[in-house]
Amino acid sequence: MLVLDDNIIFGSTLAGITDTLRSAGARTWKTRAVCSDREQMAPYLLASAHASALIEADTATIEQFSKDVIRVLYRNGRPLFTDFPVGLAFECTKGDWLEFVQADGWRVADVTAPLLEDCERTALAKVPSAVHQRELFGGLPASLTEIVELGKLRAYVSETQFGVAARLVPICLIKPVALESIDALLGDLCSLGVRGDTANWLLSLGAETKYRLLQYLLSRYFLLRVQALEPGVVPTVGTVIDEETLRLNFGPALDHLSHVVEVLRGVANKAHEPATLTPLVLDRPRPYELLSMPDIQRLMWEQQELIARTDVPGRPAEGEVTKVGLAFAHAVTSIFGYIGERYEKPQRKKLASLHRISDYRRTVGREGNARVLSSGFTLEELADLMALTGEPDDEWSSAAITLALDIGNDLGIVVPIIRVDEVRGVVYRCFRLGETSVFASVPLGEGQWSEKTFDDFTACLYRGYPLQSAVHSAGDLPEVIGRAPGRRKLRRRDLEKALDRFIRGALPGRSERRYLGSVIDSTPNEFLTAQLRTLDGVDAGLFDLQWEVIDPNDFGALAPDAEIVWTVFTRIEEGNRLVASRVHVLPDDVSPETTELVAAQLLKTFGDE
Amino acid sequence: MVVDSFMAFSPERGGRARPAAESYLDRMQVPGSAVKHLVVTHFHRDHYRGLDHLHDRYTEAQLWVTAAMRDDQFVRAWAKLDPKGDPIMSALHRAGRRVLGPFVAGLVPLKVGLSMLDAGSVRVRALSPSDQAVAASCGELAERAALGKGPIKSQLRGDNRCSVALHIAAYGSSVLLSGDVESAPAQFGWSAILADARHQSLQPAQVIKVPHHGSSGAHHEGMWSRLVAPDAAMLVAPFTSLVSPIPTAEDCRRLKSRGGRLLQAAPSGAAERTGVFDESGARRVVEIPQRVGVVRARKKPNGPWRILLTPPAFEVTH
Repeated sequence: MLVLDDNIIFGSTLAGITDTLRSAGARTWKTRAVCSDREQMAPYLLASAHASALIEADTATIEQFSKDVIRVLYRNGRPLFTDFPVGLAFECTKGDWLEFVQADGWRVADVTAPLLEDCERTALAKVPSAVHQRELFGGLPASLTEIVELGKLRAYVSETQFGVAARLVPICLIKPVALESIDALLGDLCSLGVRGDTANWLLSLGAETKYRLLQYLLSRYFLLRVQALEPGVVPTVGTVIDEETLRLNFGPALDHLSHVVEVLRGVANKAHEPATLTPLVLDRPRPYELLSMPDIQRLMWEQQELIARTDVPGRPAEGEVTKVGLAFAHAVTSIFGYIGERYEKPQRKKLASLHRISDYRRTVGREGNARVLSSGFTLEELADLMALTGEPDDEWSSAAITLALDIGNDLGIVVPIIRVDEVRGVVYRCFRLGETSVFASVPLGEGQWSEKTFDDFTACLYRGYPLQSAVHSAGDLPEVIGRAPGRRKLRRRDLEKALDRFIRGALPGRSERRYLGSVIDSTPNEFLTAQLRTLDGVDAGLFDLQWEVIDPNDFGALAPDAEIVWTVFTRIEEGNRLVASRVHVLPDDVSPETTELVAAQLLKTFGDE
Repeated sequence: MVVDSFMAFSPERGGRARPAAESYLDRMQVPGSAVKHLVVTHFHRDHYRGLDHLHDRYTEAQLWVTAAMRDDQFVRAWAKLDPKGDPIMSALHRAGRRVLGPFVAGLVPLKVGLSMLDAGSVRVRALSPSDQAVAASCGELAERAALGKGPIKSQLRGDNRCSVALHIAAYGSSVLLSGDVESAPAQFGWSAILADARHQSLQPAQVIKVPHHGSSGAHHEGMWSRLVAPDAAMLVAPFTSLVSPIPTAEDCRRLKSRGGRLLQAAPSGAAERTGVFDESGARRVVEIPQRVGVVRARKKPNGPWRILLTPPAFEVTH
């Protein structure tokens, strides 16, 4: 057995592969990598994998190598989507392309990753409106539509001699699923007309594989429905299946998979009532452990404040495209970079100082669960970053966070993984840092207040990447294919000054503490009284807050019972400690339709007691 | 059995919060497998915060919740309040899936009449809520829900009709955990509990967790004379998140006049507006004591009750 790897940074992934090989019956194997990081690798892990590399280099060189790998992979047309190994490749005229972008029922965002712009390719994300999403998932059993979190199309497009070459990737993100429900979900899928032997094969897979399979099949269905409902906009031929990745994910029995897809095709081509999609997530894993760390909490508050004050990607109307700006994308992705610097690297250093793989297993657990890399944020946890600005019923605010993840994903800063929470009995998808998290390792607040050097991602401003998101007419889109969106290059010093003002305007310092609570009373132009608690639910007491600390956008909602969030920021200037507060009102509106959907879901879940 | 939950800062977690019950049980070195029941007496946050964490930690525990939380009308109103799904609802959902053994469900709605014999010698009885209380409370909630989130919140805040009171008898002694049951309205509060034929021969409790933080609204003479022994130890947990914290000095005097020892888990907190605006633009009006005290009432099968206090818990002496 020969294992080939591009890049060994530490060696824990190899240790996992070694375990898999051993449990699969392999007796001897060798591992060859292109390069390894001599500063970070753990020699005992490499020895256990019988691994060696062509090149050993320092961390900086390896980081550059990782970035180059991302760029090279991207040159092939699109990043490698291991969880979504299906796409649609086609060429069309610019006019047809414009029709695709402007199709009714979709919201379109330009999520071209800043560091990849010289690749002459534009990356888009097309998110269906709530109404259209329900149409697109029509025809499936209700249990399956209930686990749909979001469907979208990623599109990678470049200009050709004749018009436009595009590759579409359908993506269906699904909610966490209880382990005991997953077979029932597959059973419901089989009720559409799946053969018995294929049904048996589906049920024989492991929980994580079943979850990945559901995610894949729902994505396939999503694309099939788009093709069925919008034949003039999306071609019905040209589907490209990455069979190698399919085999890696689901084993060699691809004929079973093809059969299920054919069943889904038959369903997709019929007319159906719109599906019922509920926003409720009840099967949740335990919260991401790092979220309880004080520094991560503070970072999340700062990123939340930064987004709220500077850059919420606007919801594009039909015929418009939102270009996602750096401030928003960086606010989300730099959380991962920060974790890489503050948690992953120190942990690697500690683990590298061990001498035997048995010590390693003792430290991180048999399954490696104590590794920073082994877990991550769920989409729901990350969507909380929009809590200060989002409207609960707005499908755009929940989709917007995935746009930043798209950018992080394309750059390898963010990697989706599927995990099982054994305590809660839930299989779920989460996002952890990727090998190139160093691209965005200095959050803007940190860069500002600690005077650290800004990272690669932020440096893209100097090359003309827009700082803030903006909504353009889709008619402008063919014009920007293959070009950096901001073409005017500014002087570095001017940009640094502008960035300084920008960050200071959004963040009055490092966040120090935060409280949640309800407004009890308010006195016009004087103060409001609120009953507050810490984020962990410890009562903090009654406070009066001066009106000056309230964001003017939030004045209107300072009515009794309004839910507020109060953050205190501090900074040191000329030796003095300065304190500032920000108060926001959390959005309060919920549509009757949403309430009804959520209630129905809750009642159903308690009904089977 | 852990009855209700709240969060407290924990020195062993570097000052971060964790459920107070968990900290206590860990200090007592009680194994997680020994926790068999988690109880949510009613739907107020000061009684269920951290419950989801406890449910994760104690994987062999059955979750008992006031029957109101399983009522259709309650669930519809709750959905309006928190469309993302409050952690408590998520915990209820998981409890519903938790299978603890043949015919042993993970989630049990609690209402008057539930009676369970545990370990052959501990009898636990739910004295409330009645079906009528649940119907009335949830019906009114549904009416308020039609008006919006504000009315739902204020309705929930002021409603203790669906609180569970538990009577626990073991080894010839008994304890009354009275939740937030109040004396009014008569048809649902203590009067209704006392009028129930099933409660006529209950042994008076030697230890009582004083109802509704010792407030005057929860005082019912019949409850004290029929369900509580004259010299019972009275344990009171303060409610400090109000402009008027309870128990008040007057509440304490009233309770002390019953003759037994009155043990308070922490000070009630200051009620007067104090302080000035600091540079952050805020001033604290009511301070919540951040240290959580423990009042421990222990008893061996044939021995007397022993009361132990961990500061800032204290015995009220006047």
